[in-house]
Amino acid sequence: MKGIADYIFIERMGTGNHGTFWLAEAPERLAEAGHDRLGVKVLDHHATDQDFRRMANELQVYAAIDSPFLAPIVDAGQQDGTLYYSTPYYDSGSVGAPSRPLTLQEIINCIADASEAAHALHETGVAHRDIKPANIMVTDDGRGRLADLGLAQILTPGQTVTGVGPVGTIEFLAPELIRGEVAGRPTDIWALGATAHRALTGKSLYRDLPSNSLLDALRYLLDTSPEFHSTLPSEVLPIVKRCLLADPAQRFPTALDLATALRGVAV
Amino acid sequence: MNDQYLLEHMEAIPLDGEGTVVRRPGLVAVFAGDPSDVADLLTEFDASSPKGLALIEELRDLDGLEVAAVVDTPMGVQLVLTGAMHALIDEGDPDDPGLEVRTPAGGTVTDLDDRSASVWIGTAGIRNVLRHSVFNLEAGTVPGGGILLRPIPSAAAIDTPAAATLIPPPIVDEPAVVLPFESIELKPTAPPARQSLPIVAAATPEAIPAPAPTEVETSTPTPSERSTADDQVRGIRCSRDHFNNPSAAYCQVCGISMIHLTHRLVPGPRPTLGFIVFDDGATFALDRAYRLGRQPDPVANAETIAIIDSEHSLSRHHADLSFDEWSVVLTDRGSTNGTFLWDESAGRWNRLAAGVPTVLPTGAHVALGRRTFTYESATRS
Ligand SMILES: Nc1ncnc2c1ncn2[C@@H]1O[C@H](COP(=O)(O)OP(=O)(O)O)[C@@H](O)[C@H]1O
Ligand SMILES: [Mg+2]
Repeated sequence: MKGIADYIFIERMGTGNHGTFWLAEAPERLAEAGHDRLGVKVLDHHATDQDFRRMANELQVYAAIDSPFLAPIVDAGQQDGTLYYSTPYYDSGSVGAPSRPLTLQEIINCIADASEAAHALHETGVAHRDIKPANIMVTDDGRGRLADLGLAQILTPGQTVTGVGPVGTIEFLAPELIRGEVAGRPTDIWALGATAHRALTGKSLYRDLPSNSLLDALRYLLDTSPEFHSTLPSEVLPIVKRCLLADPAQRFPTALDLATALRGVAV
Repeated sequence: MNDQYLLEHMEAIPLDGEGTVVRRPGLVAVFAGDPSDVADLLTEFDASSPKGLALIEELRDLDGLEVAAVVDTPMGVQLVLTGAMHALIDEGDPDDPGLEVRTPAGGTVTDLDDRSASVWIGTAGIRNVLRHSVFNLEAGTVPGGGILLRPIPSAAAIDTPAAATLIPPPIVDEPAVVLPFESIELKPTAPPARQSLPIVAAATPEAIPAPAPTEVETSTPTPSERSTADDQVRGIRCSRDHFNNPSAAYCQVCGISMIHLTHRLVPGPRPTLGFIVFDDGATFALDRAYRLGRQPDPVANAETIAIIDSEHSLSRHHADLSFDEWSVVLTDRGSTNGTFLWDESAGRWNRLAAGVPTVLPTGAHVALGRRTFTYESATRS
């Protein structure tokens, strides 16, 4: 693949749950707005016209949200049933795969930023649905930008886990989502807590997660409380714990409350 | 350059067992070890995108993970094995049982030539352990202990004559031929038109972590837009007022025990009844009815699931999943290859009669053509 629509790909940056991410030369038509290089996400999902409308609607709502901590979406489109959208390219990578080492404090700041961004989404009626370390981008000055609004649910309603994600990413799924509850503030808050735990310790929340069957892994998740690794900074532990309570009503009421708690932490 | 034996011309069928099976462009691999280490490794690969020989080097030097992999290189396809992984190369000659490559110390790289009909790779003991069904992993990561790699069956070529040469790829390589596209530039203009998401929380708790559960205001979030009279069932409420199946011992929302509750039946909207997991890991919540098939037409009262079916074993509209009170019900829609329920005690698949609804017990294995899924109930009894 050399490009999509009027984008010319420079480099393939990776493949995620729902598509492939490319570094691309921005088309002429976007040059005015000051874009030269952009990141382009090309979705695997083969789309109908209706899918494209659904995605476009969702992204329009997203684009109108005014939060400094959301990775903006510049342009979205479809070519022959393949959907794409473009965002700024972050040289420092993501909290999950940073291109330079991040300090614990930077990680905490990034997650606090992402929490504030999630709150802005929630206030607009949108749940993110795919918060994880790889979807929190890092700016050159070490701040967070929440990216990759989870579109899978919009394109395939009812689907909670896509078939092609590493088993390792199911720890970010709130257990009630597996049971089929609707995504909302509490499920994103769970994902933010799980993201903090993963990024700060490098360890999974579930030590003996069965690896030979997704079904067993999902059952295990439903029956097991997460375990917090001993290297999690003690100042962060109670915050992460509260995000990961089984009862959604006992978690932080809003992602802004979570952001405020994280902003109070100095490690 | 060896054109015949490139991974894109092969299908990769995951096999049961402990491990993680990965397919991405230029690589098919089975890893033994902690799946989160595999996830980390893949993230690393995303960042550095090693290919060909560089990728082989990376795979041979893994710490803590064992791997059996087939990698595209400019010299053709190469097989990499480390630790206790093994491979079996079957060149399609019925008189020749094939070449077995096993447990080489320190890793091995073997050339695979174009005569190789199929290759099994994986942890010891994967041979011939097929799943209930066979599916081609086109891309991604699934649990599994091995992979069978073989040429894509020619049935596909018969279905669509000369498919390989006539059908243009979805995205053009040559900038000269540009397929039409539509795009919308997203500008922060239109004011957001939606309501904010409900806050699902007990009255602001003072301390962290939250104090012992107090009275919680919420009721089960339900797909209210979809609920009709049909979605009303009679159930019981837990002490925090979540609506549940009368036979549940624990609340499916908050997990609290309901064993000592007086079981007064009250009407309410049917909560989600669990989920189904397909053989490729795709998981769907049973908070709504589904129409299943290769390409089911949309309907008002159910969501459609278009199931990937590289072997053309599914009918367009193959089966329906719906509800009867607190039960999940499966109905075959006169499909060509049938809808089957696994009978564990008899050790065989039972075909469902077309049009006859069958209640699924929790843990039920279902086959639609050559794809399978498992149903898991949300009720904790
Ligand atoms: N806007 C961006 N700028 C820089 N790197 C990005 C950006 N978006 C994604 N990436 C990186 O590209 C890789 C693939 O991303 P993606 O396709 O979104 O998959 P996932 O988020 O599931 O890992 C990830 O390692 C991610 O960190
Ligand atoms: Mg991403």
